[in-house]
Amino acid sequence: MSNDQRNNLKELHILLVEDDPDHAELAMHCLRGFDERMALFHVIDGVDALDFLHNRGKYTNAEEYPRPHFILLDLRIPLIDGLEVLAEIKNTETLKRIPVVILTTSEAENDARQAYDLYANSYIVKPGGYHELKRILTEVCTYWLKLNRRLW
Amino acid sequence: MNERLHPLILTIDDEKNIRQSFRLYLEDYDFEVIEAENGHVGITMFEKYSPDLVLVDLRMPEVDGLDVLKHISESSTNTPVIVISGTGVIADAVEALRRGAWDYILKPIEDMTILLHAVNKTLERAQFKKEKEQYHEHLEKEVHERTVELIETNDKLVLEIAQRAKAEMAVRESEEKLRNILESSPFGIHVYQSDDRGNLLFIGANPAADWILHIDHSKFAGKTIEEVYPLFFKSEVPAQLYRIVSIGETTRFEQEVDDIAGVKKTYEIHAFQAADGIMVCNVIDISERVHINTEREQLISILENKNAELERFTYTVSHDLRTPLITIHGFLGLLEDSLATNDKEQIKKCLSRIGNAATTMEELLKSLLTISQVGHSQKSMETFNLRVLVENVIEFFEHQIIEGNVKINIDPDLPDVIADRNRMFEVYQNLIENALRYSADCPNPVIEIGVRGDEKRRIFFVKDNGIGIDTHYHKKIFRLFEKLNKESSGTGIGLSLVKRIIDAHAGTVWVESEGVGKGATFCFTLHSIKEPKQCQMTNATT
Repeated sequence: MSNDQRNNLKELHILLVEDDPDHAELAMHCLRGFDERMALFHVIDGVDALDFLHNRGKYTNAEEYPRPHFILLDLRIPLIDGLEVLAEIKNTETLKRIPVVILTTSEAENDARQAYDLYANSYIVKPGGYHELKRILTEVCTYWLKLNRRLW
Repeated sequence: MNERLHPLILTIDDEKNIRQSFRLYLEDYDFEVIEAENGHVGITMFEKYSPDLVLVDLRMPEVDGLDVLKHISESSTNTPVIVISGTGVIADAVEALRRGAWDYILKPIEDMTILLHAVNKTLERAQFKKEKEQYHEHLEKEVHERTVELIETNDKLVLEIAQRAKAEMAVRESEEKLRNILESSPFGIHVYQSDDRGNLLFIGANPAADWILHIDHSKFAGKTIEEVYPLFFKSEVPAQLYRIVSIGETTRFEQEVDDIAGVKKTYEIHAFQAADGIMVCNVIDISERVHINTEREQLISILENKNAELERFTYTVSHDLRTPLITIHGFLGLLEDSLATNDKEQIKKCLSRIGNAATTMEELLKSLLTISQVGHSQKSMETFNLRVLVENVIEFFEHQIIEGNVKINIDPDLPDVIADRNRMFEVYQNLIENALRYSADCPNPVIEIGVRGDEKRRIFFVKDNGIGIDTHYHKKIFRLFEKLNKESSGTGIGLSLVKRIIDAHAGTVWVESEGVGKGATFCFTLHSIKEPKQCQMTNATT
């Protein structure tokens, strides 16, 4: 449903970069019903994430695959590592203002430091339970989609 | 004798007229004359006036001329005495001369000039005698003084000779000591002297220098430093030594050279100027120390790499084990909600997800166990034929090969290797499984298993004509639990297990692929083929 035509009608876009299908499913579950206007796009690796953002490859249609209002990015993803994806986003003039929220299983200080050094906007460790995850994701969405002044 | 203006003459005679005639006559010739009328008075006057000449009559009563003569002779003065003797008693005159009289005159004196002549002649003789005696005396004194000086000089010389002998002995002893120190020193010592043209000439070396540098130095005396040490000729040693000679300071440096046998050696050299133009060069062989240091640094580097690998491993494990745990927890929460709403579809889905995650965890734990055991593989090194082993692995996949219609080419020249047989089985199992998996959808799949390269570096490979791998991921694929394709089966442990096994065999593993659709060749080396013992020492992450 995520890449459905209807998404174009919606105004709030989130890109979820997550290779684990279970985790992706849980995240989508958590955000179901958050806001009628919200659309969640899901890609499973670094290559797809960058293709989506640059509207290239299978994501050339910019209307169908719009610029997200923020990105939920896992660190350990196939093909291109999460930190590499982050670095490219923040080094690309047209992408660097997109808030990037790292959502990872890694509690390693080194990962967090590297992510912040690459200008991650937020670093969140995946919690153990479903309700905790739901609370966190709801807060993150509220914060970036509703509380903050958006540029687009 | 007093220096008088006129010589004083004492005339002793008992005859007054004779005395007077003498006096009168002699006074005319500028003599001073005193008279004594007998021997007794004469002696008294002699004592009192110390005359320059005495005229005495031999025949006198009481104290006669011979007595006077005797007295004067014994008085030890050299006063000349002329005796006056009567013509008839000539024997008396002879006796007087024997007793010390200088001359005699016979009475009666017919011509007074005889007297004058006798007086003058005697005085002259006396003067001459006196001078002779003085000269003699002076000579004796001189001789004495010289003798004293000579004795003193001699004494000094004797003393000096003794001291010098002692000093020489001390010098010899100290030289001996120095030589002993030099010869028993464990440091090689060379001594050079610079000649007028500025060349450093070899003077000598101690025995330690002989065995440290494996050179017999004895034949080099007088040669230049370049001739003595062809080994050092191209090094900075001569330049350093010449520099020290010119500026006179001490220096210490290390020099690496190949010795006569071609073995790489490191020497520590201390050079200094011992005296003007004399160079001393201490040579210490520190090759062992340098070697140990290098080895230690290598070990540290290996340990650091191992440690880094371990850190990566721990990180990966904690991450990958957390992933299914989060899934389980997440779906448990969702399950709770679904139970509340009695959404049966959702409940089923949750249970299935939880079950799968649990299975994944179990597989991960099994893989971890497998991988952790690789580190112990060195115990079971053995020699075996690789072709036979590969054939066994192929049998293992027989079913898949037939089903996929895969052509398998095994190089018949696969050699004997020294390795852990079971681990090498796993290496080929994983590589062939990979090749089968990624060429499954290609037409006419071919898998080639062979060896290339030379004796020094054999490269074993498993080549397929499957989907290939983008260059970007060539390194990444060997990481633990890394999968390029999330949908592909397996835990993603296969290649990292291969890497660990090859690392443990001190080898290297890599992949060659020109890109997607162009097939892939997995290659590895085994350094342990020749020296199995070294595999523990060698860098594990290459």
